[in-house]
Amino acid sequence: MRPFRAAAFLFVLPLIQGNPQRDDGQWTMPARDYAATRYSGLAQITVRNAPRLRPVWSFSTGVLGGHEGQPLVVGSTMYVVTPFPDVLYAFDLASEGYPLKWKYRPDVNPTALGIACCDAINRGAVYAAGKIIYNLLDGHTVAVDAVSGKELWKTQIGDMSQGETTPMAPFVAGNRVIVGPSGGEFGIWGWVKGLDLATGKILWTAHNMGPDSSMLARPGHGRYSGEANIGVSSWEGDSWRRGGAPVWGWISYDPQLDLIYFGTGNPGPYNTEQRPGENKWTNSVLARRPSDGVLVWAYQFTPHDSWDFDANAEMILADLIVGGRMRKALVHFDKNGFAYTLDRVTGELLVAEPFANVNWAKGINKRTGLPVVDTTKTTGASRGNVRGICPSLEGGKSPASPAAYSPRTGLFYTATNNLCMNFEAAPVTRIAATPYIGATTPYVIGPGGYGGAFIAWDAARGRPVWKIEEKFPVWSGSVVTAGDVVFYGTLDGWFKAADARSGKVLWKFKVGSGVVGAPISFRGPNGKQYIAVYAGIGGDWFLLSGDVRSDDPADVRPPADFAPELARHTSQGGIVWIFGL
Amino acid sequence: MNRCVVRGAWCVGAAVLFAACERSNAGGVPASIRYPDHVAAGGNQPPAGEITNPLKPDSTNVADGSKIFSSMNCDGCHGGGALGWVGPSLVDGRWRYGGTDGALYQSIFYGRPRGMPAYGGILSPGAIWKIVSYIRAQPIPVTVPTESFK
Repeated sequence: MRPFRAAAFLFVLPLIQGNPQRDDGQWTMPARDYAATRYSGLAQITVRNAPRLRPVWSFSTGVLGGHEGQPLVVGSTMYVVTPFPDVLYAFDLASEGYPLKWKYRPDVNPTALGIACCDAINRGAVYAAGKIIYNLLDGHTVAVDAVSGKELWKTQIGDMSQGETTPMAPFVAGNRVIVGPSGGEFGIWGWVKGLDLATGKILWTAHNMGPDSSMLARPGHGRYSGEANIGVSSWEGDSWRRGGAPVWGWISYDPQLDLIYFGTGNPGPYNTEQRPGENKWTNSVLARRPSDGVLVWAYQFTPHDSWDFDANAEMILADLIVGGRMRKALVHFDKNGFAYTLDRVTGELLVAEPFANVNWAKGINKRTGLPVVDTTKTTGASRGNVRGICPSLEGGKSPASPAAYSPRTGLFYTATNNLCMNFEAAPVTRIAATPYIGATTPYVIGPGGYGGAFIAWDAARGRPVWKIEEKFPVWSGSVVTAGDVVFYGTLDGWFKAADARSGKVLWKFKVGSGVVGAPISFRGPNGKQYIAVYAGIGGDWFLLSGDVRSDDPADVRPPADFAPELARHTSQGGIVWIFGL
Repeated sequence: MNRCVVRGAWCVGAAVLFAACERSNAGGVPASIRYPDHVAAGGNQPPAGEITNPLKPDSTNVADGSKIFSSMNCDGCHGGGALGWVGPSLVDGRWRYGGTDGALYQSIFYGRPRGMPAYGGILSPGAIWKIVSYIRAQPIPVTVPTESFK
């Protein structure tokens, strides 16, 4: 155990401290490193030569769902997980045309299609100890031999009969596989689980609300400052039992502190009046010990959420000078439109400033950590139709679109949405494994008339540095490289490279379908740097822009009223692209 | 149980096939089977396909059906106005599993394999028929079948 940890230190610390070592050219976990930076140390592609990028390979996955997440590159093999039915492809990068070594076709229960809230997506796999590990939509985690493609173990982690599905990408810290469920729209009792990497056995389960014994919380011990059983007392009655707090986003890990960090999703239902109280720990960041799941600290971004502001977006770990002091920081772009910089040792709030158009709160009180809410924007069944709330529940940024951090520029790069909404809540009954929502929430394009933007953010000062406006909301992840080039995609199907320092667009290519995946960078067996990304609009956009669908003659939909032009530029697809010089 | 159902359908299908042979097999010529017969041979409607909605499609039943559609969380999957969300549109005049009264009733009562839950255990037949009344009363959007972008 000990030598492994030491190795992890060497690998991760230089990145966190902004002094990247030579890059090994691989991409073995969802966000490239434990710190979730999505930073590639490869530098062959530069601001100067990026305009000469060209497609070198593409592959249709044969699946049309939203292609979120990212491929992995381990050695000379690239691994791709598709949306439902969750096929795993292994491509041989050492052979011309990158033919398949194998494909793994799991037996996934199609009932999951009716329990996944927002398209049958998958956010990708993780590589560890010779295994490719990922989640099937129907509540299972599988480990597949990275060389042979043979299934090594399969564990049921979720319960579809209670509305749980599992599209998130698992995370490996030490010998624990960390997983969580979706189901914030189905009245689940949210959790994370720690599985044994070798066997898949569930070693611990930690709920995000409920009694301290269920939350693996020990008030008064260590840095956890929650009151005793706050996961019950911050709810009315037993509403915590169906209160949501899913874990469908990304996980990061500080091996020195031995803490994992992840965000929890919205409280359910959307009708606030069915769950009075602060609803801890929904819409929060939780720091837990990976070995036993113990809760070490927690901070809630949006107490008693009135707007479906899930906090599942990535927690990027970086050491930043904040207020003249070097801090072990955690940076998070929340759906609520504020970007937060916290001390990741203690959970102390350092910076919280809006990165998108925000009107539900006037700001975040640094002393209390609480938002200063504009109560005219508070929703609930008795409050009727509350109009003009910004951002919309798609978020100032979607957690599905992970940001990147460059230690070279010191900047964070993220997709953003510029949408506002009306919110009309209504009482709702929980019927197990059916939607438990209770609100109608139509959108409009926000102030400025653009649908979204790709921005660079200074998290130490809490201010934007540059911004590229786009016609439609921007829903892709991003990767930034040591060549100071940052990559992202658009819903209307462009994949773009920009100068990480100035925001100047250097190159773009039409990839065949809208981009909701996250690009990666890797070094091929020939020593050259490549960029890979999925095309394949979907996720929320399968729901929101229904007329991007063409595969079912029995499902013909009108365009989205707030983005009627989108289907003019894209339809569904599923393509893996690789670009190079 | 499943196997019995499959066998039963096969038997019915075979009977139709033989009947067709008898009709057109004069002179030992191989049977020619019209396409609708061919389809029916392998896809006979279940008995409920013939049942009809006992309710009148009046405004009361349609309004009640609309309320039940929301209160049973149908709109959570099929969208407000049933225009399509994670589940398919129910107002485009197109049907995966048949659009007759009986087929809609079956879909709601028994569920369907790609995610439609079975509501037969928690809804009365009268409530299901009101949902059927509501769905069938909805107008088809003007973008079906041609969506024009100019």
